[in-house]
Amino acid sequence: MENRNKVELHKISKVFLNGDSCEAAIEEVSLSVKENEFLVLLGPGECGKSVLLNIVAGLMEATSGEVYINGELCGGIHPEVGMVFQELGVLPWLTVRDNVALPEKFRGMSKKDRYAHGQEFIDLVGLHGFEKYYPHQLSGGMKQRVGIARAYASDSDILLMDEPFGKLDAQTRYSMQDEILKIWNQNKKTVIFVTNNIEEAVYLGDRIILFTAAPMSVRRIYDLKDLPRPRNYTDEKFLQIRGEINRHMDLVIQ
Amino acid sequence: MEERNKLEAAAGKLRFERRRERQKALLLGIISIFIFLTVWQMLCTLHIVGENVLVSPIKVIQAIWIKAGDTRPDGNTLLQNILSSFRLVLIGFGLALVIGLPLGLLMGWYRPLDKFIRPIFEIIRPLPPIAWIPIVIVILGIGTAAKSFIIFFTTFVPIVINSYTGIRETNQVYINFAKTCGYSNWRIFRTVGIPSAMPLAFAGMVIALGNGWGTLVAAEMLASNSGLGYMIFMGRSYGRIDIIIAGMLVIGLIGLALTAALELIEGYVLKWRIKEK
Amino acid sequence: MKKMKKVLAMAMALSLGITAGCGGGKDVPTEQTEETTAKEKITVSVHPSGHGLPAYVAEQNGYYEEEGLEVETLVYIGAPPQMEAYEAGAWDIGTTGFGGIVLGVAKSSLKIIGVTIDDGTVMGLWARPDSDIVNAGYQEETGCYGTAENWKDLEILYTQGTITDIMLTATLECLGLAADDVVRTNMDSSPAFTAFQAGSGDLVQANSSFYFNAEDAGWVPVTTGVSQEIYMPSVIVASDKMIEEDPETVEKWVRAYMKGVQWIKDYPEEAAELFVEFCEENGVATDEANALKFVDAQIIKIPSPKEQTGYFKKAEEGERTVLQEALMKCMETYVSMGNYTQEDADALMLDENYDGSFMEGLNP
Repeated sequence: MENRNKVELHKISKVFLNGDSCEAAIEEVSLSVKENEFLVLLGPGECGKSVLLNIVAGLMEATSGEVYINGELCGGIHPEVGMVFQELGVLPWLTVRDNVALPEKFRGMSKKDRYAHGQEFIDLVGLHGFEKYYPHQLSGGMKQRVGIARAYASDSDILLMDEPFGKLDAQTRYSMQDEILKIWNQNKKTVIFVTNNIEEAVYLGDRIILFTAAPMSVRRIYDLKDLPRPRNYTDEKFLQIRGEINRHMDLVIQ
Repeated sequence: MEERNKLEAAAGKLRFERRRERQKALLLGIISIFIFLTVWQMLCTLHIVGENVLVSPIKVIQAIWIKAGDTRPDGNTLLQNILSSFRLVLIGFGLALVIGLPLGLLMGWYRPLDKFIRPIFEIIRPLPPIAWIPIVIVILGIGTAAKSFIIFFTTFVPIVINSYTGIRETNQVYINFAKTCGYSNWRIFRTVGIPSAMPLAFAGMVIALGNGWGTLVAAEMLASNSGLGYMIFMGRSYGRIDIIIAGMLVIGLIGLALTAALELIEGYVLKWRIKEK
Repeated sequence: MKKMKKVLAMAMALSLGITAGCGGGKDVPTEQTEETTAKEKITVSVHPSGHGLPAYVAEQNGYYEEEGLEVETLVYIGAPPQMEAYEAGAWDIGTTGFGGIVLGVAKSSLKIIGVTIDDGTVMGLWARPDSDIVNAGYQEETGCYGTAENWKDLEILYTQGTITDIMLTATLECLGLAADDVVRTNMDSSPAFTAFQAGSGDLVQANSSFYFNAEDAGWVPVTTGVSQEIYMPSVIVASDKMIEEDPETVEKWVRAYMKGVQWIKDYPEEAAELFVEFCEENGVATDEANALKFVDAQIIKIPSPKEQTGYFKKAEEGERTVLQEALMKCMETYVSMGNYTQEDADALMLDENYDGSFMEGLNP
């Protein structure tokens, strides 16, 4: 079976107009993502990672460059691409199961089927019993799990995650990292995960792409396939890689 | 589930504290009304204020009691007057809701529509309802249509403004998410924009209803033969201060009831909101 | 002490100078000494209508000056605000119509000290010239146009609680109709006029200055105060307090007012001009031609002080005076309609509410 590139970015650039002046956010970024790999995009805060992700999702247009999904040129919202946002990604006026059923709505299924389909993923993320709850009744971590469940339920092959654990406290964050790996193992998808936390990146990623600060470009690519899972924060190899990335990242934050 | 137990314990404590707070507030409210009524009664009993200027609360209650069945001096019982005014406000408010709510939402969502309607709206907005009376008489006559229009006008403006602002404040993240689900702009308007706008839209409705109910006196000034405003005018013509005050009291109480009813509905429709009291 | 006297003298000089200037400059400012009496200050209230005109004339022609009065005149469009101001102590003497009689005399402390115009002379309900009721023609027996059939269910725009009610009720009685056989829509005179012009309503009230405006518009008076033989006097009133504490001033003002009445009778055209001025200053629209008609129809007929004394006299003990009779006729209609109570009527009939001494005092 050919290990084709699920997603390919070819010389993506993004320039923002700020009044009279132009701001270059992304400068000729090219990268590729293999099928079912867990790719982490790492960089200092505000460097443009979210912008890049939005471009892949089709929410923003690149100033130049192309996005290929499954080998085809893509110019906007793609049904194969689903996104997990930070906390606000859950609609507060819908219950958990309505939220999870949302993407399916577009596909024209009956309500009963949608709920049944979504139930699988609600259970998958460990929220069994909370189907009829409203978001305001849930904790931050639980809301994120709803977002993940919904992204999985949408059957998109490619999941984009924009710092999904950014707003959570450290404790919840660690447990969510384990959760996401568990889910990914049970239900393999191509994941592009954005973070500014080195530890998180090393813990989660098959590969890590390290970006510079704005204007953003690729600094280095780290291949972590040899680091065995489940990973250990205090493992020697883990710390070694972490230190190396840290040094390179330091150079970036001038 | 440990998490669930913790949640319920915390909720229980909150509920208890809230009940205490509400009882305190209620008590304070009752005391203040009591003091107000006592001072009022004293002013009258001790003749500090003349009978042709102010009438005691007891006489006002009497007037209400009697008016419930008596058609004098204005020719309608209290209930007939209440229903007449109610009808006017219902029509005016209802129309404002049916026209204003969609208009505000659409204006807030679709820029071209906003730019098109804005100028007219901004000119009309500051006009006081009484200023409309002369024009309304000529165009709409002096019947229910004319009077309801006055009320429509005061209720229309807050509904439009609030639903407009509400939908403009829709969080971009929600919109982005809906986009990634593949929803069209129209679909996003319906599934994200409208629910998002509801809290503010409801606030607008509460204001509108208050405005509308308070404007019924001005509207009935146009031409009437029934209604609470009419009852007050007749009270004035015939020197019945007790009826004037009774009318004001009834208007106030019903206004209160209407607001409370609307807020009850709001509480149900918007049960997904985080209650911060 | 000497300085104080100087300051006081200067202040009096100033106030005299100013008030003298206000009076149209007729008086030569006299040299002031400490014995000079300042003018009597009173506040008078009237309506911008026929019974207010003599007061306006008195002011313009300097009759107040001659009586040594400094008068502030408050003008109210109707009885309710006028009487509310009275309760607040804003004025003590003036003229008013029937609404004011009940509010101010029966229910409060004003007393009637004279009569002025008869509201019944310039009062009517008008219809459009092409309407059925006009086409049916005038009926001598009922004193109005049309039959009961024509009148049934008509919408009448008028101000409830005023004398128009009396005229309407009298008409309905003549026709054999009940009170709610017509639709009554309560409106003030001015908006009622406009609304009727715009096509609303079947009949509209047009009294006083509006009477001739309605005539100009080509409308037809289907019933009038005259045809229904309504006698409805407007009156001169004064507070019980003022009558008790300051009767001389009351006399002075009444004299000035009646001087105004005489002048109007002598110079009706000039009076019409003043009436236009008076109305316009108070937001009532009228023109000279109509003003003259108005003066001729109503104001000239104000009874002289001698005639008025008769109104206050009782033929026999225990009976009512002419004035009381006239007022009672109207009150009875109101009581039967439920607008006023029997207590109100009884209160109005109390003898202590009437004081004919001032009119007597004016008799040479």
